[in-house]
Amino acid sequence: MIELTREKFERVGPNIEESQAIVRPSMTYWQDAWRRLKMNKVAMASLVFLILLGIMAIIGPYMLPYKYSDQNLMLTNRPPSAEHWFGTDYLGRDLFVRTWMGARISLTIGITAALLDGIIGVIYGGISGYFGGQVDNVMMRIVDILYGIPYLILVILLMLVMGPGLVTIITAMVITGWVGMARLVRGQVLQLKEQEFVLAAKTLGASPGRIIMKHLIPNTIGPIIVSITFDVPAAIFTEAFLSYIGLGVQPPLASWGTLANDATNVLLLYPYQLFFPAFFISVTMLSFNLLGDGLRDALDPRLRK
Amino acid sequence: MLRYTFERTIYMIVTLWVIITLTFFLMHMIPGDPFTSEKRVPEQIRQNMLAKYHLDKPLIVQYGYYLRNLLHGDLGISLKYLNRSVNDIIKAGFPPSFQIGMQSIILGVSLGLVLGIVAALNRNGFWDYISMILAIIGRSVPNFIIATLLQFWIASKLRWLPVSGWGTFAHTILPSIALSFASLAIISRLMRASMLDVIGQDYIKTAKAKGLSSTEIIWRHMIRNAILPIITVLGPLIAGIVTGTFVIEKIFGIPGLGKYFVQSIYNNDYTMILGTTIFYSTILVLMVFFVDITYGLIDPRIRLGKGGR
Repeated sequence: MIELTREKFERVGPNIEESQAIVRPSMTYWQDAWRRLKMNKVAMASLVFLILLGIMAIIGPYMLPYKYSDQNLMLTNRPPSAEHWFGTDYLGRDLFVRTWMGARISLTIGITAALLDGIIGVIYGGISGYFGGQVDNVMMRIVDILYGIPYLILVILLMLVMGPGLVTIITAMVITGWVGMARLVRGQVLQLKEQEFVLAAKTLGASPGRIIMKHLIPNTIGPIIVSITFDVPAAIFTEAFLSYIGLGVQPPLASWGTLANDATNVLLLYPYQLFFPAFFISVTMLSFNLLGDGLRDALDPRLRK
Repeated sequence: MLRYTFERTIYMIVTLWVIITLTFFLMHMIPGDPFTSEKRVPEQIRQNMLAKYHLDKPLIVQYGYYLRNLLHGDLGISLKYLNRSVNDIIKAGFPPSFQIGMQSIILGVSLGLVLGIVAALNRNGFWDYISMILAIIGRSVPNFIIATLLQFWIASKLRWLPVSGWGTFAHTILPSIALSFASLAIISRLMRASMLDVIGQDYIKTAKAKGLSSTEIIWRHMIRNAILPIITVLGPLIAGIVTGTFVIEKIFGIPGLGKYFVQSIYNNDYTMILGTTIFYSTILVLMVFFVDITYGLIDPRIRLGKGGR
């Protein structure tokens, strides 16, 4: 039998360095979210499409030697050809250039309106939620009333008062559109403000403005981004709707809504003219919606599976 | 419940008042008066016309007149359609809009519910994909494009249904279908999610353990519980359908209220715009009110939860 002496054993103590070494690189919230978004093929496809769309909105109008307002009455309602890739409309304007001009306008309206909605809603909701009590009560009653006013009817009225135009459309949409975001942010802030890190910030003497902007809002940024992503297609749709009933951007400027409207007038003779605006409106709205779904899964830790 | 109803009623009244006031003053900020486009008339006649419609009084007095008449249910006289009161025009224009709106809501909600339920019960099956595709179409294709395409293919190419106009039931089919897509999409997705949520609950397991038949579980336990959250989206949904009728009526040439509304905008017809806006808003606000009350009745958590959600 082998004798077991102390010398035969080697002490393996805890290797402090090794056990505390970080094996995988640490990830920030954004890296983590990005990693999860990358796994979502549908959302990534939407993102790629939207980026391409954005690039085309910038360079598209310069790819053919026509301006969006150039008329050529000798070449009206031509089908797609080598000179006019998407054909021409009833005034002989090149539809390829006009489609991308429309993309520029529709995207500008959609993104600007959604961002402004977001900013106003975040500030309003943040203040209302953080201060609570009477302040919250009054501010939220105002929101409740605004929420009850039919959105499109108010937008139409505002458009009338301010006259048609790009700035007007955005303003009209923002005046009515921020309410949803304010509600969302208020709800989030109400939950967050009871947590210890807010108390810690308060004890250190942070002002309410600092607490809201530096502590509360960054913690709700996920739902805010998701909500903005869903607001963009809604704004694009509203603009298309307004342009379609003749209240949107004015000719010769083009948006997808006005292009669709022009195309329906000659639909029986030249049905393909509706194809491009209809296709791009639909696919853009779809992409934003799918990207929003993907972002929601990626950014909202509570929905993690 | 009484207190909740009372609270909701106050909200409704205040909302309506804000809408009326806002519309009134916005309306009068529009440059020009309704007679600027008329032929040049002597100043005296112009003044008489303004006086007839009280347009020469200070704004606040006009506002008082308007509110007083409104309380009597009188929306005033159209400034463009001579001697036709706004009430008359609404009476003539509302029935077609109402019929199309109702048909599309019934179609959208019932079909959406069925699709949602079937999709949840066959998760990742054939019907789940069908409902997903329909939901994607409804969510991303604007209703005016759906309407134009339906009109083009079904009416003018295949000649199954009339292209446009009003009169028979056949005229109402395509507009209703075009309008119902959005609600179909929302309802079917929501119902599917809600059903999946309920299917995972413990009381379904209990019901199964008790040996209930699956039909009974689906009808009595799943659908009854899953349908609750649907009620909350009905309000906004109805709002979407009502404003959707503007374009749909334009496309299908339906003599409805939406057409009058859009026309009165071009005509600068103050009383008509005011009247139709208030009428639309009242309907929408009333709808939301009934939805809120119904939800409060069905789900006690809502009315006890201090009104917040």
